[in-house]
Amino acid sequence: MTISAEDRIIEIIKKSGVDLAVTVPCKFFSGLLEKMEKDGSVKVVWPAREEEGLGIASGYYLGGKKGIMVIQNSGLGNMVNALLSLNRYYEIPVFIMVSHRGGPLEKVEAQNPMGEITPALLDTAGIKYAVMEKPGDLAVLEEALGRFVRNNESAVMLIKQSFWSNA
Amino acid sequence: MKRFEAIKTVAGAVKDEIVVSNIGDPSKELFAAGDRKENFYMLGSMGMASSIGLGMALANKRDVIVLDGDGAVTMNLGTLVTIAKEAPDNLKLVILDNGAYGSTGYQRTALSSTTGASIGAIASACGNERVKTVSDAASLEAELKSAITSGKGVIIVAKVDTAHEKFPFIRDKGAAIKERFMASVSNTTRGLYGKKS
Repeated sequence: MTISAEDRIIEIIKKSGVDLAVTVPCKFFSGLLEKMEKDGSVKVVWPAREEEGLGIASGYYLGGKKGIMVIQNSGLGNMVNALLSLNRYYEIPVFIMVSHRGGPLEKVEAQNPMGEITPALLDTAGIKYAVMEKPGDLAVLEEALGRFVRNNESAVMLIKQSFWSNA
Repeated sequence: MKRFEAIKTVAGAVKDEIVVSNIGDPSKELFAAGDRKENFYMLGSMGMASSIGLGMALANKRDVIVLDGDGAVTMNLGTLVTIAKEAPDNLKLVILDNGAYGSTGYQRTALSSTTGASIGAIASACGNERVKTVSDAASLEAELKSAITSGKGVIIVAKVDTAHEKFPFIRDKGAAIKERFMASVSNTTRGLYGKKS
Protein backbone atom coordinates (compact mmCIF):
# COMPACT_ATOMS: atom_id res chain seq x y z
CA MET A 1 0.00 0.00 0.00
CA THR A 2 1.36 3.39 -0.92
CA ILE A 3 1.24 6.17 1.65
CA SER A 4 -0.63 9.26 0.44
CA ALA A 5 1.02 12.67 0.22
CA GLU A 6 -1.39 13.88 2.90
CA ASP A 7 -0.28 11.17 5.32
CA ARG A 8 3.35 11.93 4.65
CA ILE A 9 2.79 15.65 5.28
CA ILE A 10 1.08 14.85 8.58
CA GLU A 11 4.01 12.63 9.59
CA ILE A 12 6.47 15.42 8.73
CA ILE A 13 4.50 17.92 10.80
CA LYS A 14 4.16 15.56 13.78
CA LYS A 15 7.84 14.70 13.69
CA SER A 16 8.76 18.40 13.70
CA GLY A 17 7.03 19.00 17.04
CA VAL A 18 4.53 21.48 15.59
CA ASP A 19 1.10 20.83 17.10
CA LEU A 20 -1.12 23.59 15.71
CA ALA A 21 -2.36 24.26 12.18
CA VAL A 22 -4.33 27.45 11.59
CA THR A 23 -6.28 27.17 8.39
CA VAL A 24 -8.59 28.90 5.99
CA PRO A 25 -9.06 26.03 3.56
CA CYS A 26 -8.36 25.49 -0.10
CA LYS A 27 -10.00 22.55 -1.90
CA PHE A 28 -6.53 21.11 -2.49
CA PHE A 29 -6.08 20.86 1.28
CA SER A 30 -9.44 19.20 1.98
CA GLY A 31 -7.95 15.71 2.33
CA LEU A 32 -5.03 16.93 4.42
CA LEU A 33 -7.23 18.87 6.84
CA GLU A 34 -9.68 16.01 7.23
CA LYS A 35 -6.89 13.56 8.00
CA MET A 36 -5.21 16.02 10.34
CA GLU A 37 -8.36 16.45 12.41
CA LYS A 38 -8.91 12.69 12.47
CA ASP A 39 -5.30 12.06 13.52
CA GLY A 40 -5.73 14.41 16.48
CA SER A 41 -2.11 15.16 17.28
CA VAL A 42 -2.18 18.55 15.56
CA LYS A 43 -4.85 20.98 16.70
CA VAL A 44 -6.65 22.59 13.77
CA VAL A 45 -8.01 26.11 14.27
CA TRP A 46 -10.35 27.70 11.72
CA PRO A 47 -10.26 31.52 11.73
CA ALA A 48 -12.60 33.56 9.57
CA ARG A 49 -9.81 35.20 7.61
CA GLU A 50 -6.12 34.63 7.06
CA GLU A 51 -4.91 37.79 8.80
CA GLU A 52 -6.78 36.69 11.90
CA GLY A 53 -5.13 33.29 11.56
CA LEU A 54 -1.72 34.89 11.37
CA GLY A 55 -2.50 36.68 14.64
CA ILE A 56 -3.40 33.35 16.25
CA ALA A 57 -0.27 31.59 14.95
CA SER A 58 1.87 34.55 16.09
CA GLY A 59 0.29 34.52 19.55
CA TYR A 60 0.96 30.79 19.75
CA TYR A 61 4.63 31.46 19.10
CA LEU A 62 4.72 34.28 21.66
CA GLY A 63 3.10 31.93 24.17
CA GLY A 64 5.98 29.51 23.70
CA LYS A 65 4.80 27.02 21.06
CA LYS A 66 4.99 26.63 17.31
CA GLY A 67 2.13 26.39 14.84
CA ILE A 68 1.86 26.56 11.09
CA MET A 69 -0.68 28.01 8.68
CA VAL A 70 -2.41 26.12 5.88
CA ILE A 71 -4.05 28.52 3.41
CA GLN A 72 -4.62 29.44 -0.20
CA ASN A 73 -2.44 32.07 -1.87
CA SER A 74 -5.41 34.46 -1.98
CA GLY A 75 -5.06 34.57 1.80
CA LEU A 76 -1.52 35.90 1.58
CA GLY A 77 -3.07 39.03 0.12
CA ASN A 78 -5.36 39.24 3.14
CA MET A 79 -2.46 39.29 5.61
CA VAL A 80 0.22 41.48 4.09
CA ASN A 81 0.03 44.24 6.70
CA ALA A 82 0.28 41.85 9.65
CA LEU A 83 3.15 39.97 7.99
CA LEU A 84 5.10 43.24 8.15
CA SER A 85 3.82 45.29 11.10
CA LEU A 86 3.54 42.22 13.34
CA ASN A 87 5.81 39.41 12.13
CA ARG A 88 8.58 41.48 10.58
CA TYR A 89 8.54 44.20 13.23
CA TYR A 90 8.63 41.82 16.20
CA GLU A 91 10.67 39.14 14.40
CA ILE A 92 7.97 36.52 14.91
CA PRO A 93 8.59 33.57 12.58
CA VAL A 94 5.79 32.02 10.50
CA PHE A 95 5.55 28.85 8.47
CA ILE A 96 2.83 28.91 5.85
CA MET A 97 1.78 26.07 3.56
CA VAL A 98 0.13 27.75 0.61
CA SER A 99 -1.97 26.20 -2.10
CA HIS A 100 -0.69 28.20 -5.05
CA ARG A 101 -3.59 28.62 -7.43
CA GLY A 102 -3.46 29.84 -11.00
CA GLY A 103 -1.32 28.58 -13.84
CA PRO A 104 -1.83 26.01 -16.59
CA LEU A 105 -3.89 23.54 -14.53
CA GLU A 106 -6.18 26.18 -13.04
CA LYS A 107 -9.88 25.79 -13.78
CA VAL A 108 -11.02 28.97 -12.01
CA GLU A 109 -9.89 31.93 -14.09
CA ALA A 110 -10.33 34.43 -11.26
CA GLN A 111 -7.49 32.68 -9.42
CA ASN A 112 -4.95 33.72 -12.03
CA PRO A 113 -4.28 37.40 -11.21
CA MET A 114 -3.36 36.76 -7.56
CA GLY A 115 -1.62 33.52 -8.51
CA GLU A 116 0.61 35.34 -10.97
CA ILE A 117 1.85 38.00 -8.55
CA THR A 118 2.23 35.72 -5.52
CA PRO A 119 6.00 35.05 -5.87
CA ALA A 120 6.69 38.75 -6.52
CA LEU A 121 4.54 39.70 -3.52
CA LEU A 122 6.63 37.45 -1.28
CA ASP A 123 9.84 38.82 -2.78
CA THR A 124 8.67 42.38 -2.08
CA ALA A 125 7.74 41.44 1.48
CA GLY A 126 11.13 39.79 1.95
CA ILE A 127 9.64 36.40 2.81
CA LYS A 128 11.50 33.27 1.70
CA TYR A 129 9.53 30.71 -0.22
CA ALA A 130 10.06 27.30 -1.77
CA VAL A 131 8.04 25.63 -4.50
CA MET A 132 6.55 22.15 -4.24
CA GLU A 133 5.46 20.79 -7.60
CA LYS A 134 6.13 17.06 -7.39
CA PRO A 135 5.93 14.44 -4.63
CA GLY A 136 9.72 14.40 -4.16
CA ASP A 137 9.47 17.99 -2.95
CA LEU A 138 8.21 16.73 0.42
CA ALA A 139 11.89 16.71 1.36
CA VAL A 140 11.89 20.48 0.82
CA LEU A 141 8.93 20.79 3.18
CA GLU A 142 10.64 18.68 5.83
CA GLU A 143 13.84 20.67 5.65
CA ALA A 144 12.14 24.09 5.75
CA LEU A 145 9.89 23.03 8.62
CA GLY A 146 12.92 21.82 10.54
CA ARG A 147 14.59 25.21 10.10
CA PHE A 148 11.42 26.93 11.30
CA VAL A 149 11.25 24.80 14.45
CA ARG A 150 14.98 24.80 15.28
CA ASN A 151 16.14 28.20 14.01
CA ASN A 152 12.95 30.30 13.91
CA GLU A 153 13.29 30.74 10.14
CA SER A 154 10.09 31.83 8.41
CA ALA A 155 9.09 30.13 5.17
CA VAL A 156 6.24 29.89 2.72
CA MET A 157 5.76 26.65 0.81
CA LEU A 158 4.07 27.33 -2.53
CA ILE A 159 2.33 24.06 -3.36
CA LYS A 160 1.37 23.83 -7.02
CA GLN A 161 -1.59 21.91 -8.35
CA SER A 162 0.89 19.59 -10.09
CA PHE A 163 2.07 18.41 -6.66
CA TRP A 164 -1.35 16.92 -5.97
CA SER A 165 -1.98 15.61 -9.49
CA ASN A 166 1.33 13.75 -9.40
CA ALA A 167 1.02 12.61 -5.80
CA MET B 1 -14.96 56.16 33.10
CA LYS B 2 -11.89 57.24 31.19
CA ARG B 3 -10.06 54.60 29.21
CA PHE B 4 -6.94 55.22 31.29
CA GLU B 5 -8.94 54.50 34.42
CA ALA B 6 -10.06 51.18 32.93
CA ILE B 7 -6.51 50.29 31.93
CA LYS B 8 -5.15 51.28 35.34
CA THR B 9 -7.78 49.06 36.94
CA VAL B 10 -6.64 46.07 34.90
CA ALA B 11 -2.96 46.88 35.48
CA GLY B 12 -3.63 47.09 39.22
CA ALA B 13 -5.44 43.74 39.32
CA VAL B 14 -2.85 41.54 37.60
CA LYS B 15 -0.28 39.24 39.17
CA ASP B 16 1.38 36.87 36.68
CA GLU B 17 -1.21 37.23 33.91
CA ILE B 18 -0.28 38.03 30.34
CA VAL B 19 -1.62 41.38 29.10
CA VAL B 20 -1.82 42.20 25.38
CA SER B 21 -2.62 45.79 24.41
CA ASN B 22 -4.08 47.23 21.22
CA ILE B 23 -2.12 49.58 18.94
CA GLY B 24 -1.95 53.28 19.79
CA ASP B 25 -3.24 54.88 22.96
CA PRO B 26 -4.16 51.66 24.84
CA SER B 27 -0.54 50.44 24.58
CA LYS B 28 0.81 53.84 25.67
CA GLU B 29 -1.62 53.93 28.58
CA LEU B 30 -0.80 50.38 29.68
CA PHE B 31 2.89 51.23 29.61
CA ALA B 32 2.21 54.37 31.68
CA ALA B 33 -0.01 52.45 34.12
CA GLY B 34 2.82 50.05 34.88
CA ASP B 35 5.33 48.50 32.52
CA ARG B 36 5.95 44.81 33.22
CA LYS B 37 7.56 41.88 31.46
CA GLU B 38 4.30 40.02 30.94
CA ASN B 39 2.87 42.90 28.86
CA PHE B 40 2.91 42.51 25.10
CA TYR B 41 2.46 45.91 23.47
CA MET B 42 1.08 45.42 19.98
CA LEU B 43 2.27 48.54 18.21
CA GLY B 44 1.16 47.67 14.66
CA SER B 45 -1.33 45.29 12.99
CA MET B 46 -4.58 46.91 14.16
CA GLY B 47 -7.25 44.32 14.82
CA MET B 48 -4.86 41.52 15.74
CA ALA B 49 -4.71 41.90 19.54
CA SER B 50 -7.59 39.51 20.28
CA SER B 51 -6.21 36.92 17.82
CA ILE B 52 -2.73 37.16 19.34
CA GLY B 53 -4.33 36.73 22.76
CA LEU B 54 -6.23 33.66 21.56
CA GLY B 55 -3.02 32.10 20.24
CA MET B 56 -1.23 32.85 23.53
CA ALA B 57 -4.09 31.33 25.53
CA LEU B 58 -3.85 28.13 23.47
CA ALA B 59 -0.07 27.91 23.91
CA ASN B 60 0.30 29.03 27.51
CA LYS B 61 -1.40 28.09 30.79
CA ARG B 62 -1.45 31.63 32.12
CA ASP B 63 -4.48 33.83 32.01
CA VAL B 64 -4.32 36.16 29.02
CA ILE B 65 -6.00 39.55 29.27
CA VAL B 66 -6.43 41.45 26.00
CA LEU B 67 -7.06 45.20 26.05
CA ASP B 68 -8.72 45.74 22.70
CA GLY B 69 -10.89 48.49 21.24
CA ASP B 70 -14.34 48.55 19.65
CA GLY B 71 -12.91 49.83 16.36
CA ALA B 72 -10.20 47.17 16.28
CA VAL B 73 -12.59 44.33 17.11
CA THR B 74 -14.99 45.54 14.40
CA MET B 75 -12.07 45.44 11.97
CA ASN B 76 -11.49 41.76 12.88
CA LEU B 77 -15.06 40.77 13.69
CA GLY B 78 -14.47 37.12 12.79
CA THR B 79 -12.34 36.89 15.94
CA LEU B 80 -15.53 36.78 18.03
CA VAL B 81 -16.63 33.64 16.17
CA THR B 82 -13.24 31.93 16.51
CA ILE B 83 -13.01 32.79 20.21
CA ALA B 84 -16.52 31.39 20.74
CA LYS B 85 -15.50 28.15 19.04
CA GLU B 86 -12.15 27.69 20.79
CA ALA B 87 -13.34 29.22 24.08
CA PRO B 88 -10.14 28.85 26.11
CA ASP B 89 -10.86 29.28 29.82
CA ASN B 90 -7.79 31.47 30.24
CA LEU B 91 -8.71 34.15 27.68
CA LYS B 92 -10.19 37.36 29.07
CA LEU B 93 -10.98 39.83 26.29
CA VAL B 94 -11.63 43.38 27.47
CA ILE B 95 -13.09 45.58 24.73
CA LEU B 96 -12.58 49.23 25.63
CA ASP B 97 -15.65 50.68 23.93
CA ASN B 98 -15.52 54.43 23.37
CA GLY B 99 -17.36 54.27 20.06
CA ALA B 100 -14.43 55.93 18.32
CA TYR B 101 -11.09 55.45 16.63
CA GLY B 102 -9.29 57.09 19.53
CA SER B 103 -5.72 56.96 18.35
CA THR B 104 -6.49 58.61 15.02
CA GLY B 105 -8.46 61.55 16.35
CA TYR B 106 -11.67 60.13 17.81
CA GLN B 107 -13.61 59.65 14.60
CA ARG B 108 -16.81 57.76 15.45
CA THR B 109 -16.86 54.07 14.55
CA ALA B 110 -19.67 52.93 12.26
CA LEU B 111 -20.84 50.55 14.97
CA SER B 112 -21.34 53.39 17.44
CA SER B 113 -23.20 55.42 14.82
CA THR B 114 -25.59 52.57 14.02
CA THR B 115 -28.86 52.48 15.90
CA GLY B 116 -29.11 49.51 18.21
CA ALA B 117 -25.75 47.93 17.36
CA SER B 118 -23.75 46.58 20.26
CA ILE B 119 -20.40 44.82 20.26
CA GLY B 120 -21.47 42.85 23.33
CA ALA B 121 -24.65 41.66 21.60
CA ILE B 122 -22.58 40.62 18.58
CA ALA B 123 -20.18 38.70 20.84
CA SER B 124 -23.11 36.89 22.48
CA ALA B 125 -24.76 36.14 19.14
CA CYS B 126 -21.50 34.51 18.02
CA GLY B 127 -21.90 32.02 20.84
CA ASN B 128 -19.62 33.46 23.49
CA GLU B 129 -21.17 32.30 26.76
CA ARG B 130 -19.89 34.87 29.19
CA VAL B 131 -20.20 38.44 27.94
CA LYS B 132 -20.37 41.28 30.46
CA THR B 133 -20.83 45.00 30.00
CA VAL B 134 -19.45 47.40 32.59
CA SER B 135 -19.22 51.16 32.82
CA ASP B 136 -17.28 51.81 36.01
CA ALA B 137 -13.90 50.72 37.35
CA ALA B 138 -15.26 48.73 40.31
CA SER B 139 -17.48 46.59 38.06
CA LEU B 140 -14.65 46.04 35.60
CA GLU B 141 -12.37 44.84 38.37
CA ALA B 142 -15.11 42.63 39.83
CA GLU B 143 -15.92 40.96 36.49
CA LEU B 144 -12.26 40.43 35.62
CA LYS B 145 -11.40 38.96 39.02
CA SER B 146 -14.51 36.78 38.95
CA ALA B 147 -13.51 35.33 35.55
CA ILE B 148 -9.95 34.75 36.78
CA THR B 149 -10.86 33.09 40.07
CA SER B 150 -13.58 30.93 38.52
CA GLY B 151 -11.31 29.91 35.63
CA LYS B 152 -13.75 31.04 32.95
CA GLY B 153 -13.21 32.73 29.63
CA VAL B 154 -14.90 36.11 29.39
CA ILE B 155 -15.53 39.04 27.09
CA ILE B 156 -15.96 42.28 29.01
CA VAL B 157 -17.21 45.32 27.13
CA ALA B 158 -15.94 48.27 29.16
CA LYS B 159 -17.80 51.44 28.26
CA VAL B 160 -15.31 54.31 28.37
CA ASP B 161 -15.63 57.92 27.33
CA THR B 162 -13.53 59.77 24.84
CA ALA B 163 -11.87 61.98 27.46
CA HIS B 164 -8.14 61.26 27.41
CA GLU B 165 -4.71 62.55 28.26
CA LYS B 166 -1.55 62.36 26.19
CA PHE B 167 1.00 59.70 26.98
CA PRO B 168 4.43 59.24 25.43
CA PHE B 169 5.24 56.77 22.67
CA ILE B 170 6.78 53.45 23.66
CA ARG B 171 10.39 53.60 22.50
CA ASP B 172 11.28 49.94 22.98
CA LYS B 173 11.89 48.05 19.74
CA GLY B 174 9.65 45.17 18.65
CA ALA B 175 12.25 42.44 19.04
CA ALA B 176 13.13 43.65 22.55
CA ILE B 177 9.46 43.73 23.61
CA LYS B 178 9.01 40.22 22.22
CA GLU B 179 12.09 38.72 23.81
CA ARG B 180 11.41 40.16 27.24
CA PHE B 181 7.81 38.98 27.03
CA MET B 182 8.63 35.45 25.86
CA ALA B 183 11.29 34.93 28.51
CA SER B 184 8.84 35.95 31.23
CA VAL B 185 6.13 33.44 30.25
CA SER B 186 8.23 30.50 29.04
CA ASN B 187 7.85 28.60 32.33
CA THR B 188 4.10 28.12 31.79
CA THR B 189 4.04 26.88 28.19
CA ARG B 190 1.59 24.02 27.60
CA GLY B 191 2.73 20.53 26.60
CA LEU B 192 2.13 18.98 23.19
CA TYR B 193 -1.48 19.01 22.01
CA GLY B 194 -3.13 15.63 22.29
CA LYS B 195 -0.80 14.50 25.08
CA LYS B 196 -1.20 14.88 28.80
CA SER B 197 1.16 17.56 30.09
